[in-house]
Amino acid sequence: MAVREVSWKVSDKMYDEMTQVQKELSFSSLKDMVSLAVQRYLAEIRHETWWIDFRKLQQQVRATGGFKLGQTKEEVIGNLREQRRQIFESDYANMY
Amino acid sequence: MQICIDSNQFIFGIGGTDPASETLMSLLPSLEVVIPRLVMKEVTRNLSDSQTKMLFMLLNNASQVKIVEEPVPVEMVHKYVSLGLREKADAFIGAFVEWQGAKYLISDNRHFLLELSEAAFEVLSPEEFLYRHYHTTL
Repeated sequence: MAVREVSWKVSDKMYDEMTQVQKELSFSSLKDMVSLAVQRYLAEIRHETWWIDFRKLQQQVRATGGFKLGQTKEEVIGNLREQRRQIFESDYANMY
Repeated sequence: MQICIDSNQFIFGIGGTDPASETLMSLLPSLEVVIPRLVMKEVTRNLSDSQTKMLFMLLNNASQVKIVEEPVPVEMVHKYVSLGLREKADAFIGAFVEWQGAKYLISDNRHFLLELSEAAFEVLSPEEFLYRHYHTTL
């Protein structure tokens, strides 16, 4: 894996905070702690972006009147089972 | 830990009609999930073309979600018919979960629980899954 050396300047206050957290969380080095913090932060941002896009899909479905599969949970599950049976019959039954 | 998610969870989650299914969807980017093509066909059958495109984009961006195209081995489907899933399409899903080595099938389809006498995996509702793994009740 290629590596790149980075040198950062941080304020005394920030450095004290970082070393304190490093001790509290038992990180062997500041580098490990910062790497993990950055990775987690990026993962959170990606997850948030993903969730925003998911909400857009929900809104689109709602805007078109939602799924027309029934009023109750049982009705929806019943209709989905019927759809599963139909898809299976047309696309898979010849294999089984 | 690998899990399989049934079509009803996508429908309830995307439709926003069940809080637990919606929460399950929100966790997709951090879960290791296998989904048979059959389940995707069931879900996308109820979506428009643009909605289907959005869903596939979301699943592509969830790095540990895998849609499996390959057919489930015939003998495994027969095994699940003999284990109680008389409807072959349900037996196909049961066989898929075992074939992929998933620990749970997350579904609100109670037929899996009522008809399946023994299986290599557990069938959990989204509420049960969230409680067991995230200690969250909704």
